[in-house]
Amino acid sequence: MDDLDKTILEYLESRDEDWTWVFGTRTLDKKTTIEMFKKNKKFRNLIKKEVQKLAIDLFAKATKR
Amino acid sequence: MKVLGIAPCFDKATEYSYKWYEELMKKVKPKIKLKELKKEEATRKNFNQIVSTEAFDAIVFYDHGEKDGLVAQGGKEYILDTKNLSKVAAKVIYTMACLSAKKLGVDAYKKGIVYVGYIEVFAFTTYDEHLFCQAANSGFIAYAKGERNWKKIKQIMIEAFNKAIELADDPWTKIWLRWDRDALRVYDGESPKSYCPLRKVALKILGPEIGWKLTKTLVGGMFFYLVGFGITLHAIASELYYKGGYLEILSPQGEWIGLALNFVGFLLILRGVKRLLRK
Repeated sequence: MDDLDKTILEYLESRDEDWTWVFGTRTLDKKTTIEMFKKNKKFRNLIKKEVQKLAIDLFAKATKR
Repeated sequence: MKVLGIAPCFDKATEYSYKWYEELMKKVKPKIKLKELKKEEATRKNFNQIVSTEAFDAIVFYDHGEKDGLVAQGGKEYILDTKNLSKVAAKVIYTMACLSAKKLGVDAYKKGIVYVGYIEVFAFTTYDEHLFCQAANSGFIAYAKGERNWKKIKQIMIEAFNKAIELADDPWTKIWLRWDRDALRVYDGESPKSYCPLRKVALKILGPEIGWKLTKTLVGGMFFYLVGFGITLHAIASELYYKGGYLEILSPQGEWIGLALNFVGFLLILRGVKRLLRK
């Protein structure tokens, strides 16, 4: 597990117990999301990729300001 | 403007999509003439019946989707897929359903229907769902207000997603707003991306208007015709060569006139097909 994995996991673990979000047909809660993030490599890579994209966006926006 | 609104509701995710649909309709109702298939009414049978008797300017669908179709009430069948797409007399299909722009949207585009949908699963956070709702609904609100430029409508939707990303505090919400924004496709304001190498060549040479309408049968037919033509040409030429050398080949022969007429006929058919495809 690299630093990004750990940071995302920490974020997920800090969510409220009733935290939910919808991914297509699946409604995921805190426990399921953490489990999927730990066990499902495809899902973990997708999340990491999207986190990186958002980080790039935020930095690019900050540069423009 | 006549609109067919479809909103099944049978699980947690569709409770939200149903709510978003209601919010959308509340906003556009004064500007449209609405027929609806909601909850239990949203079946393939009812859909086929209504579209075979009435023409609509737009079909609005809020529920689950897959690349091959839009899911009906209960999730066990498609309300709309490539099989009954030909029955649909509508100018626009507008949906927030997952994945449907990947295949169904391309097929609709080939039939001349404007398709607004997503090439990935639609994701959202339940606590910030209003941000996703506003962005997903923004395109149809613009359309109902009279905007007909689909490139502009896509821009309006992208801006709505960007505004929602700005407004969101939670990074998880920002991630999925970004994800949905990038998965949005408005076929007409843009043309679909092809993954087939042959289609790519056709699109490059003939442009999206014709390139997307070429079928396997048509391309196969042209291929066999041209290969057959080449083989015949070679066979006649070699026969004439054995008969009298190059002089015999170059002299006017009935075979050449026949083949020339054949080729002119092929070019004329090609021109006719091109015109038909443009229509």
